[in-house]
Amino acid sequence: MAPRQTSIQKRVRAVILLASVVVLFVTAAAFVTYEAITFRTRLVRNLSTLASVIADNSAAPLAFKNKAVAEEILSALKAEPDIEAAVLFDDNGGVFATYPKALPPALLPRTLEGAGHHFRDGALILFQPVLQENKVVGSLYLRNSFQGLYAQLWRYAVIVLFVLLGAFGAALLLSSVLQSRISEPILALTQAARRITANRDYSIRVPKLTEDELGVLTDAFNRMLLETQENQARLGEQARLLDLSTDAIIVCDWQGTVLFWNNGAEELYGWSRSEAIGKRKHELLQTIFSEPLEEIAKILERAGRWAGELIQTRRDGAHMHVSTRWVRDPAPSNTPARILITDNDITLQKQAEDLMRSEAKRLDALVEQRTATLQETIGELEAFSYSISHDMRAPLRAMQGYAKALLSDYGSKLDAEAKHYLDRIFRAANRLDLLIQDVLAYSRVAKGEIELHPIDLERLIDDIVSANPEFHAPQARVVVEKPLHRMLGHDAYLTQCVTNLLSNAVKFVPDGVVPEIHIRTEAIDGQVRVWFEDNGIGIDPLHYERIFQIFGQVYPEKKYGGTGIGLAIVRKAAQRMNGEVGVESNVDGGSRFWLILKEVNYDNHESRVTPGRG
Amino acid sequence: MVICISFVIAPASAQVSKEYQLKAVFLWRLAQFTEWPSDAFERADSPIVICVLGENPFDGALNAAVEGETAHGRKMTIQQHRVIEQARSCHILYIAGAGPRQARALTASLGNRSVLTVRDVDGPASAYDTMVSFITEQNRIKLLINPKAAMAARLVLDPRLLRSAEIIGE
Amino acid sequence: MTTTNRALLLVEDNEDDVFLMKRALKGARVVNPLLVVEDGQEAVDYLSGAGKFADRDQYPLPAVVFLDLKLPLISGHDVLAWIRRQRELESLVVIVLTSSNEPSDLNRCYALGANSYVVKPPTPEQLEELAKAFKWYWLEYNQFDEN
Repeated sequence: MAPRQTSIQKRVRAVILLASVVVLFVTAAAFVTYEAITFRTRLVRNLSTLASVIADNSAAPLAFKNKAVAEEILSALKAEPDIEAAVLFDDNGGVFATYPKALPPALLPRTLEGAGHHFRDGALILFQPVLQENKVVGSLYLRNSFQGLYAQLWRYAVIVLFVLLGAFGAALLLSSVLQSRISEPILALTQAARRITANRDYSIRVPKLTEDELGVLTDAFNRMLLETQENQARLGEQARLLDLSTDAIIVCDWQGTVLFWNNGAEELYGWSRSEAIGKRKHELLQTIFSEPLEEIAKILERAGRWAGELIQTRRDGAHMHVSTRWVRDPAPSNTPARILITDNDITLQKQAEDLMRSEAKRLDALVEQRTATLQETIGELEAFSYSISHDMRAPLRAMQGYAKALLSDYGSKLDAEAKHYLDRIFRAANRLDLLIQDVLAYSRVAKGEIELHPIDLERLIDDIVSANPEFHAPQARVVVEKPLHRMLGHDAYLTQCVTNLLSNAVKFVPDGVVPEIHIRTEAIDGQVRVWFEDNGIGIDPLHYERIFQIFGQVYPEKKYGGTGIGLAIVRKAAQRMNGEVGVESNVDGGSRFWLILKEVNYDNHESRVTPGRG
Repeated sequence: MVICISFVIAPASAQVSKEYQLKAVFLWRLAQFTEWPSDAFERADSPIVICVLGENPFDGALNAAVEGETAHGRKMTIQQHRVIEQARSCHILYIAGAGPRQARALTASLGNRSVLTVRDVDGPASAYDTMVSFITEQNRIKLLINPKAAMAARLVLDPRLLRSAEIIGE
Repeated sequence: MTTTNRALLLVEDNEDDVFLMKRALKGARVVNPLLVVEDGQEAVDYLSGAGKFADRDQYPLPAVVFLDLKLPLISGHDVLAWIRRQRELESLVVIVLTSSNEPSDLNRCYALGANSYVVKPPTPEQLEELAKAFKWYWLEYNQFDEN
């Protein structure tokens, strides 16, 4: 117990004392009051009783005039110290006997009265008739003084007082003892609570002293302490783990006051834990937000999380870019919500990003520049090739024209040799023209983005055949095995392909043979293969690849003609249509050219397909 | 009242001495302090008979004394008798002028009858004497009572009476 | 005016092509007077009757213009565009006669209002065929709007 009485001890003691004192006092007062009230009555009764007895006993002595016995009887009053005088009167009113024997005349009654009593001069006067056979034979006079009574009362009061004091003392003692039964457990709890608050030592336990409600309280308290201890340990563990992280991990309340600040945060911002906790994070770090704080709060409220980038200031004044992720920690309804903040220093990243961006911009500009230059160049080249080709055709026309004119106008004057020379001029010019046309065709095929559409190959072939007399009978025979599959392709390019393939087939035939070309299609795995089977001179497998190259002629131009570009154009065109072209030898001689293109189905109908480069 | 009675009594018994006036009072007082058995009375209101055997020394004093007095609620009547045989229905018998031998004989002849015997004595009374004896000492009349004798006669004496008297025959 | 008398204007800068064209028309027995201008500006002047071309007796308004595209000063496209802007030349038949078979040229000419687009055949025989076809179609069957 504490040397100085604590308030609860005092209180309990005071309570017990008060109760005791009140009880004692009330009891004493009751008794005293009762005494005071009833003493007179009692006195009278007692005296009356006494008088009756004496009177009764006095009847015989009175009757037989036995004064001695009467005196003897009266002398019994000695036992009553308060009785000052007793006189036995005979039936004549004369004094028969007195008590004490020598009675001072002052104490004699002045008059002889009948039965009754009254209080006079601080004494009780009582007259009791002595009866024998219901006849008065004498009278008894008793005088009872109060002195004794007062003394008695006083004594009574003093006793009561002493008893009171004694009882009070006992109560004091008892209360001191009893109060501990209540206050001790409470004090134990209080002490423990004080120590815990001072030292934050949750390993303390309160001893259970009683089995009553205080015992229950003690148990609950101890349980709470245990839980707190465990929680603390867990938190400590978690905090330790959080401290391992190199990320800055901070916990704030909704107003932004820092509640937790891990090692990572110390390192990142330069503020120590003790410096940071309790401060407002935004103020401490002079945060510059990318969006207004109210907006962020709303997002956090709604979605529970927010991520963004901030600019914050370290303790040493350095600015840093920080990537921050906020998560709202939902708490039970009556506890305030908290925010878990994880920060990463992205200053370097940002710098690198900025650098990259500026580099990228620079590169973009460069690329744009180069592209522009390139496009310009291409444009120039195109214009160049375009104009060259067109310009070149004019002199060729002139050559052919003049040669022809010479032949027709002056043919009669020319010998066979001259005519031959003119013919060679004519043919050379013609050949160059064809070459130029093919070059133009190739360049047209090689550039630009094209859209692929479904092609009606049957109609395309019809158009080509009808537009080119060399494909008509009797020069040639083109057989189309209908129906032909529909395929994705480009009208112009496909026209070019088919035209070139057909003209090749027509050109490269043995002497005297009418060129015959069979065209058919087959569909495999979403692709259409178009077969051009001819009865021409065929191609050695050795040359399968070469023939598709520019100027990759195998057979002499002298014999069969051709510019050497035709198949190159076909391949380029096929590639631009995301297809391919190839050749096989026919079993019966001749060649089988195949062209592969995508089949038309409802998926790829009219798609913008990026054409292959090749 | 007391004065009245003494006034009335005075002329009638002027001759009777104070002593016998007192003794007369004593007699009927004795009646008040004695209890007879129930078969000693015929009826509930039968009077207590105080007899004087021999020469009546009381004269009319006894009559006057018992006038208007009761004992145990009964009136008292006085009878005068010459011979003991006549006195057998008395409740109190005062034997006048008898000596000890005579008194003894008389009481013996009464046997166990419930009669309270009384006589005057000069000296100490004996156990064989009357139940009550009056003796005059120093101008006072003392009572000498033999309770045993009274008990033998089935008479119950009030202890107060006994207290006021000297007890003999113990 | 009868069709045979309607003039034909040839806008062509290449002398050889002019020579070949004349031969071809002759071979096709086209007797209509053929006027020749060598560049786009001259074509515009001729058709607008500017300068020396005010003399419509010497330089009559043609019924048909053969227009090459590759012209100095003003390109064939521009000439065509100009022609079609002139109300009085609305009904003038313009046949674009060019060595280009570029689709872009083709589209543009038709967009500008050419009546026909012909690629110059490489051989003189083909040119003569063309002239014959022209004569049959344009001069004999086609009806000109009498302005």
